[in-house]
Amino acid sequence: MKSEEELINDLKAQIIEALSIEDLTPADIDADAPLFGDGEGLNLDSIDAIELVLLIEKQYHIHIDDPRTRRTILASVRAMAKFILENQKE
Amino acid sequence: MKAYINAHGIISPQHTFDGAFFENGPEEYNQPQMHCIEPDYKEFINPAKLRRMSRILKMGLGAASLCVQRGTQPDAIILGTGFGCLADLEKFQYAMKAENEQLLSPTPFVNSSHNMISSQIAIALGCNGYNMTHFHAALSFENTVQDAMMLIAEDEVQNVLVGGIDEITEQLFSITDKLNIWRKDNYNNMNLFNGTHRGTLMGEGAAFFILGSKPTDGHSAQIIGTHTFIDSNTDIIGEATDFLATLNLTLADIDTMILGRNGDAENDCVYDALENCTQANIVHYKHLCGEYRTSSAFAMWLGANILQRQQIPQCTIKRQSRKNSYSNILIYNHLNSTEHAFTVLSK
Amino acid sequence: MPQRVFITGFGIISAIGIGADETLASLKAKRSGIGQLELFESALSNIPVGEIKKSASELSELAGIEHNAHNSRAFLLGLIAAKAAMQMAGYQKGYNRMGMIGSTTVAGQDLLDTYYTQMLDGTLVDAEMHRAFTGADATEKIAITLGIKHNVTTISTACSSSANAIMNGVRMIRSGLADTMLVGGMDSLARFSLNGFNALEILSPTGCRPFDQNRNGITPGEGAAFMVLESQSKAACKQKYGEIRGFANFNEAYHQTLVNPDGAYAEAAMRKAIETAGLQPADIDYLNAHGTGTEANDLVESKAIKSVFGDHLPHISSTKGFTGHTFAAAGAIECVFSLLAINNNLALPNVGFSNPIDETGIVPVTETISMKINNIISNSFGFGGNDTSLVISKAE
Repeated sequence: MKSEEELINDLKAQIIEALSIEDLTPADIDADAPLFGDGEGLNLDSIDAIELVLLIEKQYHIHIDDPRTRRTILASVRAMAKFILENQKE
Repeated sequence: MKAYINAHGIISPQHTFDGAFFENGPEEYNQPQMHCIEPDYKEFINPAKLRRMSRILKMGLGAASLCVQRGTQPDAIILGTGFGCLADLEKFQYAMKAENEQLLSPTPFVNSSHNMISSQIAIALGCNGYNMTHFHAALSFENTVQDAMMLIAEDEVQNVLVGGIDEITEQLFSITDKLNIWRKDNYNNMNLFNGTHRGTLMGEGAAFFILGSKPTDGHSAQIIGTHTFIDSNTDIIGEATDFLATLNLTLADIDTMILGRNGDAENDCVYDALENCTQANIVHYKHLCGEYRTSSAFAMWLGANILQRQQIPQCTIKRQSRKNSYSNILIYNHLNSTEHAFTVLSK
Repeated sequence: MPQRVFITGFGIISAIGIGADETLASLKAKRSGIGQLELFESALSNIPVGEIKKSASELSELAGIEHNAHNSRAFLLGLIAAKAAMQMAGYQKGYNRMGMIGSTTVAGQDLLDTYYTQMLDGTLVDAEMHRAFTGADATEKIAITLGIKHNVTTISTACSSSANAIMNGVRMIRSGLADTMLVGGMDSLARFSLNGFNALEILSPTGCRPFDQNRNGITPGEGAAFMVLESQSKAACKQKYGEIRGFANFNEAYHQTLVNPDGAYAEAAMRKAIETAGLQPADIDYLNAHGTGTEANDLVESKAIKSVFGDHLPHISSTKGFTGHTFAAAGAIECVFSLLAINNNLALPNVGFSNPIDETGIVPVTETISMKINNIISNSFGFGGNDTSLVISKAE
């Protein structure tokens, strides 16, 4: 099982790939910055949210049932990592 | 109706983006596909604006941005495309089957909407005006130009960004190659018109223009009319004569014709009648950009340059019979001798 | 004053009927066409759709042509509607001053779905099939079948496509490039679009409920509608079913798929369409909304409507509860609905509504209202922020 920090680094690279954010490197992404919201952090939108849900589902085999929980799960890269660690099967 | 070509931005298999084509001559290809020579988009487009964009979207935004930098912010955007964002469509279609309609990424679906190129350009330029996409195979670009000319004549706008855009994809090549559309040998582009062969070269491109109601200092030509028709059994000379008459011109007034010959013997014989009925200079262009649905946008760029420079690039001349000056150019292109399109450019 | 352009014929096919009579009867009876997907296999077959319950061979028969594997379903729907429109306008075939603007988003996707793999691996080598994969082929085959030769184009601007086709047909006639224009749109249900909208998470699991507080997405539909537009002199001695009096197209330049929450350009499209018609908002009797049933569209459209009309709202409904969202065909189908409303003096009902949206409180027409209708505004808003409004008026 990976540590939270290791997982955060994996996720940053996966996010850049999934959302084709060509102008950033993993080092440019602050793990605690909000992913969504006007002018904040990566400034992602609802299509990105769908892509991130797919990323978690495809890469980590975790299904997010309730769309209302997405905002919390996808709040930041760290939030994503914590959610994955909590829900990943041994 | 008329419109001035006040600026252009073009990405093609030649060095057209920076104008080096006119100094250094044509690029040579020895394969059946001619891909665009693309600039580094990040050098002149904010990378954040390039996100989520497939290659054709970047080509479109790149050519459009250059055009606007050289010209002016448009009041409207009109685009012609024969296949739209084909790579995205193929990607979504493939994923849908491969993943059994489960867990599909929405991005290629969104991008595959045919008007996404004109929409993305509108977003990047902040253009809230009229926004249209013509999607009619080899007539797409001429229909686009006609739409822009109407809009200008209606006094709705001063400046319209128009473009013709299509991309090569491996799947499109693979399917159409089996239909024997492309050359199986003899595919040096600079020898495309030598000898009698079947098949042509596959091309692509993004050619954009700012069309204005008034000429600006940098304007290259004016478009005085376009005409399209669908007919597999047509008297081309008759159609051309009737169309030119609506512009108060005759075939004798045309000093230069740009014809869409592509090196395929069966395709090219359709151009013979028109070529043989006048003494006009004959120019061809598909050895430079390849065959694709909106290649006549490349022809318009070439025509505008001929009028502005008063010189025909040597590598495009098939017949030079009249050298003194260039005033009226007729562009004629057809697809499968069914879709036919004319455009007249004047000095 | 710009030249007046009239509608001298129209044809329609959708999940609520084939032709004007069946369609009108369904509208009056509030009979929705939304139900179970039956005609093709899909992992999404539990999603309700507005499907026309006719097979390809049945549609071919209706269109009066031989069944042929190269004919996309959208083409067949389009041909049925286009032939009916031509016949109503008194045309056996086109003539020199007649053009055509078709519109579609996914015409040919059904063929692509069935034959693409074979075309790619070479087990099927068929140039005609390859052409039929692309939407323009549907327009072109209709034009050739009906003998229309000049000024043929296809517009593809997502869900506003056929509203734009109608608008541009009027512009072609006003510009003097044509005297008669066959205009409209066609789209069929396809796995491609079902999966696309599913991936975007905007399909309604229950059937769409436009303008309802508990709306939960769109219901995909299919259909086609075509109209014959004619100049004043061409239409002089003919029955005129309506007039396209005003129109406008704007682009939100906001996002690929998301609606700009401020609704500024939806509002601008309505205002300019009314203005170019030489009318005031108070002259509009009925508004046929885009009303897709998504959370965002209906809220933003409601706000824009309120900005334009203030406290004096016209009768409003979305008819997508009848047909589902027919994408490129929607603008033309809803324009034909508007002609039926004008010629039968009806405001059309909104199926699927129970409670108004909290923020705007708009209550659409829920039962057919008999009233004199002179002017209708019809909205079509597409992906890429493409916003078009048409003003359709009684031909006086």
